[in-house]
Amino acid sequence: MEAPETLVEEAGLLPHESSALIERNYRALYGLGVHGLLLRPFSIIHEVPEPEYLIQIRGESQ
Amino acid sequence: MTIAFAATIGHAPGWVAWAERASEEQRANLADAVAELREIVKAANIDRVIILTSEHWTNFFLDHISPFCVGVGDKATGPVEPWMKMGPTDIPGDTALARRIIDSAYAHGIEPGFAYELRYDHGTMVPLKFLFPEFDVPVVPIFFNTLAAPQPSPSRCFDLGRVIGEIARTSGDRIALIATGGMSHDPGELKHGWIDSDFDRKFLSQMEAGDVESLKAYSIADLGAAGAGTIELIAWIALAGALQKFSGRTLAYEPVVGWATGMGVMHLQPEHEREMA
Repeated sequence: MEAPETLVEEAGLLPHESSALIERNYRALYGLGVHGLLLRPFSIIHEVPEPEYLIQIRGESQ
Repeated sequence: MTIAFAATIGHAPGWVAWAERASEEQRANLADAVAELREIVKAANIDRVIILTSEHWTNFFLDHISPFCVGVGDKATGPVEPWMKMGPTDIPGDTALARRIIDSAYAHGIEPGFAYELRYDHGTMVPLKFLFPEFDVPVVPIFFNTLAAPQPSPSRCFDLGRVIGEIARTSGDRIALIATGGMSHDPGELKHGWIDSDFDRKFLSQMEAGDVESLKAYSIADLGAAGAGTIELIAWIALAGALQKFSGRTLAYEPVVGWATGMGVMHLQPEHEREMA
């Protein structure tokens, strides 16, 4: 993701939405309603293994 | 002419792109099922395919979603996913047939969206690869919104299917009707990897019996309870609407955890074909 700060500003995201995206906080993004078929591919781009992704969106501890 | 072939088939991308995550037995069972379907469809001398399908944010996003979208272009290209390990292929369409479906739907009080430019993802390419590997038979795609609520109700999909069936039966071509999607899966969601085999088997038995009343009675919530992706089964219910009176034969059912999907393959026979046999 190039220049994420610019991207979230252009998209008009609220501060808590922006921080979730910039920090790649999958739990928060999922809680905000990001569709699984968008969020999981996003996590794949950032090389997050499937088990780790599921732990994160489920709010489980590793 | 007639509905010369009807089938339902899953489209999990893993079937093509990470097949090794299914067991050897599962892969063999699914391969046998597809081989049998392939023999049946080859013998049917198909002129046109109408595929009842879903897509995964490939053509539509939240800025524009319709419950149904008929592809009216003279071709479409797919798959869009480079990781599908399939080169992108141009697949011919049939604008005239697509327009007849749209016109008939409007005449029956159903107004689908339509698009001249569409791209295919795994949802359409996986079944075409297995059933029409030469990609040389013109395809009319009908996309169902399975992603963003509100999705069209199963009974509404059944009604659209009835229109499609009437057009297929009177088209002058030998039509293959294929419904793809499902079965239970929850991709990228909390229950990812969980497969509701009990639900899948019940749904398969209803399709086998041609139990249209039970199929129409499902709600989106009923389907979604077996995983968000299970809503793709509205395409199967639309196929039931197209056939009206039919029986089905399950060629394979495999809950493939490695593909995070319950995989169903079924051959369907309309009642009029059974009477002709």
